[in-house]
Amino acid sequence: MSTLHTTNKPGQALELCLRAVASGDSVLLIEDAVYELLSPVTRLNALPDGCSIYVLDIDAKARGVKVSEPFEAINYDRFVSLCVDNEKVLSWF
Amino acid sequence: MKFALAVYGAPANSQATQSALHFARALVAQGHEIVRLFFYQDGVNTATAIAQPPQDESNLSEEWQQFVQAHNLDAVVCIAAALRRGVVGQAEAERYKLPGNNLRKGYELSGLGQLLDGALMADRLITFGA
Repeated sequence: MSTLHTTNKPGQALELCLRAVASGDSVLLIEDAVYELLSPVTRLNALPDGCSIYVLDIDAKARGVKVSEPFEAINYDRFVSLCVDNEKVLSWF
Repeated sequence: MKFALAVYGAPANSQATQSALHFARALVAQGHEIVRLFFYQDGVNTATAIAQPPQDESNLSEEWQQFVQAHNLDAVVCIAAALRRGVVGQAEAERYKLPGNNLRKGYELSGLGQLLDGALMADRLITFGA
């Protein structure tokens, strides 16, 4: 059973989120959480196997954050699809 | 699929209201059903009728109300969170002898149980934190 984790800020919210991520889960960074991509040392690169990390495109653009591999920029339609495709959605904030 | 949304942030100091509205519009566009909206904590400020943001900024309370009414949504505002923040309907204003009421049409003040009820009714509960 896979879970979509959404998080809206870097720091503790994201930290706790990443601790809970299991193999096969997806993580979606929204709002201020997109700033994590600017961090030179990010734990996003050390997730379990089979995890995907998505970034809400509109929030990254609004903050001047560039999204590149292995992260994937998505829109709200994809956000909805991820909620459908994962059996659970957890929000960390 | 059935969705319930919970909004914890206020229009003036969080992006939660805006994110949730974008998400809700995408849900409806894809043909999903929103079975419950629940405004909790600072999110109750979304339902006030007397906040007037600057004219060159978006009025998220107004946009939310239009969305709620256009799609005839079940929009619940947490009554305990609302009363302590000065978001009251006519009944509460009379009961507590307050000088006015400001709850937008289309919203209902009710208890936290409605969040649980929404979570049980829906296939997915999506929370937009402050």
